[in-house]
Amino acid sequence: MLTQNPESPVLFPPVDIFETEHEVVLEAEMAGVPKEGAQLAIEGDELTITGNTAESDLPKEYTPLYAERRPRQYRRVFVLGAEVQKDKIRAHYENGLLRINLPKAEKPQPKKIAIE
Amino acid sequence: MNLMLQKKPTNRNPFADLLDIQREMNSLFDVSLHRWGSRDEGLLESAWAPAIDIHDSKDNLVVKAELPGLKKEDIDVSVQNGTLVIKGEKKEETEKREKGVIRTERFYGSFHRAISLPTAVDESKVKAAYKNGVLELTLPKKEEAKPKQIKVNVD
Repeated sequence: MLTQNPESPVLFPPVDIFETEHEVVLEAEMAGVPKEGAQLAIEGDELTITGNTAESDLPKEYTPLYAERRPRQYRRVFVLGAEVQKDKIRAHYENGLLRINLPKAEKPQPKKIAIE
Repeated sequence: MNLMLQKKPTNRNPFADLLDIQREMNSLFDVSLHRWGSRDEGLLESAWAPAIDIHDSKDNLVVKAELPGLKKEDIDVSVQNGTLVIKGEKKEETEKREKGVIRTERFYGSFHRAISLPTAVDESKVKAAYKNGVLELTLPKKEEAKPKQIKVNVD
């Protein structure tokens, strides 16, 4: 189980999942997570995405006047269907958006047998 | 067609389930409160507003706004008469979703956030950077707005 630090709560990142001809695409919003803080792990049929927001990079002379944002961790687990080719999963992180491309396995074409 | 991805069934520990529910509720409030609860404009003006932080130092104000997954050119920042306005549009790329949508939780559409700045800033020297989905604005304070030390001589 996750240990929950009250200082940095664990949140579900909002995701969009959609299909194209050859892939399922998952996009997760993780604002404030640096590239090295975004992670993706596949274990069995589970796909786990995690991200830790960066510490404030402002010098010490700054004091907060107003804060709606707070440090947080993102974590979410998905179960992959059998159609996903796990060894061909690709991920790209840019501007707070983690995009994961999950290629679908080619469906075996029915083999036509000529009748003699 | 079967969903190819689905949320993991929670494990059998009932307390873990409760924690999961709590976490979901928290994240729900987290999303909704800062997006609709602290808006400066009327509800019809835009669909959502980014969460912001304001930091203060002797020389500058720094405003950070959460805008994940945008393009730099889709963000518009202006400062006028002591009001900072951050606006723009998050565009949904529907043409790529040819085979159907399984889940949509992200917000799309135009956003708008207006902030009354607590001190006078030099509008011509505002700097903006966009990194990791966070917009960071550095607003240098005007000379007259900077704190000054006044020495009082006691006789």
